This record gives sequence, C-alpha cells and structure tokens, in this order.
Amino acid sequence: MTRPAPGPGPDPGPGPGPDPGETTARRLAGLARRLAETRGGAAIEIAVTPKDEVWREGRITLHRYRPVVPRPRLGPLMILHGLIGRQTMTDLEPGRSLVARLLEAGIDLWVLDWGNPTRADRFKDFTDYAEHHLGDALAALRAASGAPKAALFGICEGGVFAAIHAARHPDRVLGLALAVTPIDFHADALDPDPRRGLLNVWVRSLPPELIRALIDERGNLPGQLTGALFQQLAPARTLAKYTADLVELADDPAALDTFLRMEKWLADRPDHPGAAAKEWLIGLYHENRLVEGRFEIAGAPVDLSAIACPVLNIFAAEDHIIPPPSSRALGPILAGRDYRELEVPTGHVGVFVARRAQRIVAPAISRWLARIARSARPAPASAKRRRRSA
Amino acid sequence: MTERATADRDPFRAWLEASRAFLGPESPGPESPGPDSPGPDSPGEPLRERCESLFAAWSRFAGTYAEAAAGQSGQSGGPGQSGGPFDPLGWMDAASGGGLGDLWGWFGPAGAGGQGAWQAEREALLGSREWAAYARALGRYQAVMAEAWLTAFRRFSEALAAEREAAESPTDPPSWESLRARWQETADLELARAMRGEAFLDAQRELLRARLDCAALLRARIERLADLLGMPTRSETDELGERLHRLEREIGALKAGAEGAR
Repeated sequence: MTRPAPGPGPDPGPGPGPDPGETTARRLAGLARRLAETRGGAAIEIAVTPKDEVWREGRITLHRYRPVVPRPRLGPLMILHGLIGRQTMTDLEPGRSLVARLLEAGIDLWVLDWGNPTRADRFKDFTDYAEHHLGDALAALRAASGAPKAALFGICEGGVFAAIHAARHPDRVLGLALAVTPIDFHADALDPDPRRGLLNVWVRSLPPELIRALIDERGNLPGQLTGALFQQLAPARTLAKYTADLVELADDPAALDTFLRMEKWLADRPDHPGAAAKEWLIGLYHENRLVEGRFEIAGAPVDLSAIACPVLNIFAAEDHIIPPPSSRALGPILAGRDYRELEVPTGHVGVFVARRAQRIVAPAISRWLARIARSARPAPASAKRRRRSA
Repeated sequence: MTERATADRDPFRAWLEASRAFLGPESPGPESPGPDSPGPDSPGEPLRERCESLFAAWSRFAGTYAEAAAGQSGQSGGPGQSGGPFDPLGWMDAASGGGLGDLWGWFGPAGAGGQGAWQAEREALLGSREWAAYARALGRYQAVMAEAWLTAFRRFSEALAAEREAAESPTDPPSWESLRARWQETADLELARAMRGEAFLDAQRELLRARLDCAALLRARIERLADLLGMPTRSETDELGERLHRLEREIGALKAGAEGAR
C-alpha cells in the first residue's frame, strides 16, 4: 500500500468526491483497528443465546435453550446439524439468529452438538450418528422434558440423519423439519444452473478407491479440505469476499462484525469422521443409495417412505451446495402424506443467517409446529359428541 | 518385470545404474559414447568404465539366473517375490529374509526400521519422484484453472465492448460496484462451466492422486520412525480405535437389550 504524501500537497480543487486512494487507505486503517480490537476476530463470539447442557456422551452434547416466553407451548424441537459444519450458525448474532426467533415463537428448543470429532472418531459411521447417538439424545430429551415425542429439525447432512431416524423409528418423532437437506444426490442433473451441483459432479468424478484413500490418509475427511472445496465453488466471489468486499465493510462496523462472526463459524469446520464420510461420499454422493432404498443403517436398508410424521422440507432457491431438486426429491417419496415445502430465496447458509430469511423460516416452523400440536391435541368432549351424533 | 520393479528388488543393480548416470551420459554404453561423454582423459573415466563392466557382469548374471528360475515353473523368481536365500535378485535385500538380508538389516544405520540404509535411501529417492509427480500435477491443474480465468476475462471484456458498440449515444462508464458485480457473475459462471469439464476433472483427480502418493510415502517413513523409537504407530492406534469402537457398539447393544427387557 502506498502512503499519502505528508503535508498539505496541491489543492485538489472542487473534485467530484473523495479521492478513492484516500478512501481505501481510511477503510484499511479502520479494518486493521477492528481486527486488532477483536484479536483477529478471536474475541468475536457466536452462539451466545443462553442454554443448559442436559446430556453428554463424549464430545456429543444436548442443550436446552432457556425459554424467552413464560411457557413455551410448541415442541419440543431438536436442532441437529450435520458433521460438515457446526450448528452454531443457527445462532450467529442477535439480529441473525434463527434460534432467537424460534424461542420468541414459544418453542421448547433443544440443540444437539456433535462437537469436533478427532481421529479417535474415525470409525464412526452413519449407524452411530443417525441411529445410536441421535436415539440416545432423543431418549435424554424425553426423559428431561417429559414429552413422549420430539420434533426434529435437521440441517443439511443433519437432515439426512433426522430423516433416517424418522423412517426407522416413527414412534419417536413428532414431526420432521428439514433444511437444505439432500435426498436425491443425483438430482443435480435436473438443475439447469451450472453453478449449482458442482460438488456432486466433482465427487462423482473421483473413483471410490481414491475417495477411500483420501479419507484413510488422515483418518477423517479434513474440515480444511471441505472448506477449501466450498470456497472453490465460486472462486471469483471468494476472492472478492476477502479483498474488495472486506475493504468496503470497514465503513460499517456492524457489517464488519457480522462478517467476522461468519468467518468464525466457517473456521470452526470440523473433520468429518472417516467411516461416515465414506458412506456420505461413496454411498450417497456416488451411488445415491438413500433415494433408491439401498442405504443401510444397522444392517437394514432405510425406507424413507416409512416416515409417518408431518414433514416440512425447507430448501434454498439459490443453493449452490445442495441444488433444490436434490432436496425436493423427498416430495414424491411421501406423496399423499402430510408433506409441505418451503422455498427460501437465499443461498445455502442464507436460510439461517440472511435477514429476509429470518422473517420466513422461523414463522413457518412455528406455524407448522402449531398445526402439529392442534392435530395431536385430543378433541374436546363436546366436539366428540357432535361428531358421534352426526 | 519392469525396470523399476527390478531396481526395487535389486539394490546392487540400482546403485550401479545410479553410478552410471552420475559418471557418464545416461543412455549410451561404452561401445557408443555420446557426444557429451567424458573423453578418455576425463578423471572419472576409469571409474565409469569399471562401473559399466560391473553393471554388464551383474546384469548378465542376474539375467541368466532369472531366466533359469523362470524355467523352473513356480519354483522361484516370480515378479515381486523374493526367492530363496541364494536368489541373487533378493539376497542383498533385507526384506528378502535370506542371503545378506539379515546382515544388512542388523547392521544398517539407525532409523531404517531394521531394513538397512537401502530402505531409507530408496524412500528418499521415491519421495523425490512422488514430489516431482505432484509438482507436475499441480502445474497441470493450475494451467487448466488459468485458462478458465482467461476465458472468463475474455467473455467479460467482449460483453462490455459489445454493449458500448451497441449504445446509440455515448454513455457514462459503469460504476465500479456494478462492474465488480458483473465480473463476479461472469467469472463464476464461466469457471463453473470449466470446472464441470473433463480437463478440469481429470487434472483435479490427478492432483489428488499425486498428493496422496506423497502423503503415503511420508506416512510410511513416520510409521517406521515411530516403530524404531518404540512409539505407538498410527496403524497400532487405529487398530486400538477400531476395537474400542466395536466394544462401544457391543456395550450399547447390551444396554439397549437390558432396557428393553425391563
């Protein structure tokens, strides 16, 4: 960076506006100050909505959010993310917190956190996560809340875990909300936009033995690698984000802090346990076993049509990671059931953090839960009498 | 057996080949010296000649043995297999378990995990080869991406030029912000198209493969070093991890069964 010459210098005259060089220098100085104040973003906090730990098994924890209304009347609803990113993204900051909106809507809200797996977790597979750990967490929720069933809110890969669990244990699940969840991993071919579904194309272009070698090399699928792949999906946007866009943000402290919070979430990208990663990339991305009824959990194929509870399927219209047709493939499988879709006009992460999504997603979930509660409530005796006489 | 496989199993031959390469031109033998070969007065010439004759003698000996061994069906000398203790293709190889193998293994330098200096040096040589392959693959990948970026930039410039030509009257230049947004849109679309193409997919595949080859070699060396220092190797901890995982599963099933019976 060139420094402006000292001293007053020549009079610039009545120019059209501030000197762009000076503006950039001022912005960079502001950016440097804020980064120093936050120790390079380290002091920035995310996921600060108060919650209490209810259950723990190794790295995996279940928390219950403290209610913000006197008596939560909906739920219980358990948020579960996948193993690719952390669930903290649902509670980025007060103005962009899906968690806060759901609590305000009177939902008894819980969150399952897989933690940051290490090489010690490399042998954990989908059976461990979708069957055992999720089953244990649901049992802990039931014991702590007294509710006989809970609704699941699965995000991305977490949605696959939730859908599998709902299909295998219809008696445990009150309702199934999915967000940006892939069901048909080959449906990217139906999306006409070449910017969407690149991940699907890339994974399919790798021979399975190369994928196995990649995972075995480190034991797990490194979070750093998945992060790099996500950045590579839109290289020009990635470049701009850390250069020109960032400099512009320096004029807006609130926007800069939001940026730093997002970066904090992105940097906290866990390694994906190896055995589950092989099933995810080979069994699902490569072989598309889930939608074809050939994906096995605990030795038995999963039949998604066995999902018996109401389903709310949320997808992002501009999702370049999970193309919309991939999520919407659940519709035909559950044809004729209590199945609803919600399209959100954002990208993959925008569903949870974009301001406009805050006005769409949480209200839709609370309406959906209210409807489930109404249909589950026993009809009053007078109504029963009326029905009988009719 | 391929050239490399032969050299892998026959360290003496590999050393001779390396000496030939070091002391003289790569391909021509003593009968046909190349234009750049050292002349008769070159100080390395006697040594080079000695190497050549040793190489020729050893090759004749090893070749004759291999032919004879191959003739005795299934008895010895198959590719990739070590023969008996007197198999000249393996007797200097510590891994062969015969001939001078034990001697090499026992008295070899520390750090070679009981397989002698040859193993460590061979790995270093192989490492260079894997690293060179990785650099090549990376270069190819970068070339494919560079071409995609250039195509994107050309599309972007062409679109802007076409618009300017189509305008009936001179217009204000577009703002910096709109140009940037447009560039991102154009570039990401063009790059996405390129990243779906076979050239990119092939380059990405090869880059990944080359990187994994490098890592596998490094891991093998670390594994041997850990073994030498009496530290648990990764394979051992993995084996332990797998057993623990199985036990956890069994305990979980037993607990579930007990709860169901209650």
